[in-house]
Amino acid sequence: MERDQVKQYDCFVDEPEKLSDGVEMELVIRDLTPGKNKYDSKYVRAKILSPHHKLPGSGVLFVRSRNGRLQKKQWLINVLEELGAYKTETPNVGRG
Amino acid sequence: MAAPKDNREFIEQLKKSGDLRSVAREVDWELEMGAMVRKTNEDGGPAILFEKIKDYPGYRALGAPLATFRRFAIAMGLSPDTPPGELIAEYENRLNNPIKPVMVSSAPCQENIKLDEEVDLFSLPVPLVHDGDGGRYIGTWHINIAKDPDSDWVNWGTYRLQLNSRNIMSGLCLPSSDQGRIFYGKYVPKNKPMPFVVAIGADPLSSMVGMASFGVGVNEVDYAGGLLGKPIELTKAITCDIPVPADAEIILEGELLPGAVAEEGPFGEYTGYRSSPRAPRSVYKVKAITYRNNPIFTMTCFGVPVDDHALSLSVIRSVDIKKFLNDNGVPVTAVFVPPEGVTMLAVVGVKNLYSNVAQQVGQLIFGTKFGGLWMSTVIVVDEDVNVYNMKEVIHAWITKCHPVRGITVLPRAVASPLHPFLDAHERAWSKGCKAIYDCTWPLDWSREKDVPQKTAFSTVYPKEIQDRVLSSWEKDMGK
Repeated sequence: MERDQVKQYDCFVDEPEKLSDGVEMELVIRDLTPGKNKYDSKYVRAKILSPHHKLPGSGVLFVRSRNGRLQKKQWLINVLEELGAYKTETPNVGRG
Repeated sequence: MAAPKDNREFIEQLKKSGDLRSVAREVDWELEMGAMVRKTNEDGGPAILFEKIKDYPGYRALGAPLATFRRFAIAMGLSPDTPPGELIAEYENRLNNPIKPVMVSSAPCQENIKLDEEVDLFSLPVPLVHDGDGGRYIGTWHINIAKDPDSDWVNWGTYRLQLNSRNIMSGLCLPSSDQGRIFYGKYVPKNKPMPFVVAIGADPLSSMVGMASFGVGVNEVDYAGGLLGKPIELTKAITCDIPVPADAEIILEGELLPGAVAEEGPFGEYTGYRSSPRAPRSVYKVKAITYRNNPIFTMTCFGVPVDDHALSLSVIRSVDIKKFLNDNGVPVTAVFVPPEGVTMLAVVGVKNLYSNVAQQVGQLIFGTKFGGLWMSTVIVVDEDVNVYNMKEVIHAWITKCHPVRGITVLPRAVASPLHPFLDAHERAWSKGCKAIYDCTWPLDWSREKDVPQKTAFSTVYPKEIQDRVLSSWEKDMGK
């Protein structure tokens, strides 16, 4: 696949150092495709792998800390299921 | 000059006074608009009208509308050169005469209507304001409007809003805020969505008044009318019974969903830091977008002072606190919330009539809705200190506040999750602390024997010497 056809995403995670190869996980990803819809975000179930692996149909995942700092390491991401723009969950009202 | 009745009159007045710069070249909504607004805020520069926005032909955007006292004065219909103290006094005076709004049947804000499946928030030139933000922020200079279901109270507030997807926004709607109280107190227990409206690009005084705290059950729009000197024109929203500012540029209508969360933040906030991390927060589902022809989006870029938030709240909180202290019989002489203190600091001048008046001032302020959540520090000075002059305030603070006896720390207090000095756990759970700095001379010190003589031009020279010096000063100085 040509590089310019590879989808690029990013996500924010609490502990970037704990991301590990091959794990299926729920993430909120932002679509980094240039244009008006850039940063469209959604909950997904996805599998991520370090970039030296092969993951057919995968996109590139940039990772930011929960405070927004971009991490050096990029990942490959395979979106297995789109879960929507928000989650049904009771918010913890005391938490800001 | 009359106070501008809408965003467009305001822009014209800013152009005439030299307080707005139009940028005709194409500017990117992704970081470039934010960076330009940030730069002008940090420079104390003009508001910026972005005439051409990448990906969004036909849209314009106004940045940094109220980030200087000059622009605030223009919004009030005053001379741009009005000093802050006079501006605050005029603001206080106008609040004594609130004016009820009027309803109009035809409104510019509904010249264009997009409903349900036609709703696409990405059709608006929503900026990515800072690098590292959790999303594009559609709400940085706007009014959140919600109605109490059990009364006629229509609350105007200002809560940041992140654009998540085509019709979904997320935001920080704290349960300690007015709309948080309505939502969590009256809608969530019934598992019902709360109708909301967001007005972007309303007249500058309405946009500003959303940040004020007039009290539970009080309609802010009445005070916007009082500040404007005539009724604010409202019209009924398309999808709910909430009245909306008729001349606003863009209106978003929808529902705040119970039992739903979406990730929101981080966001570079008015404190000057990206201090609240990404977290699951409230979900706003948009059901309608209405807008004026050729709409002008409005935005600001929060960060290190001074920005529109800090500037507006400097005026608002100065008046809020003074009124509250007066209502409680405190011998207050002046109050200033300096914009450089990003709404966390209040400087209060008092006539020191009884011991520990500084404690009373601080504890009263921290007991209020506006002071409890957002303020962390109160400095109390004697009446001879000009609270608007930070040189005098710093001098009084460092020379009169005893490092042991003069500082009172309140270790357990309500806090904002945005206060940067709190640790991550304290921020997440709004566990704060406060400090009161007593910069008044103790009453039990003899004014003759114990209080040091202030060595200022106005205090250590006989009046005839002062007069003689002043009468020939300009000539002596070669002016």
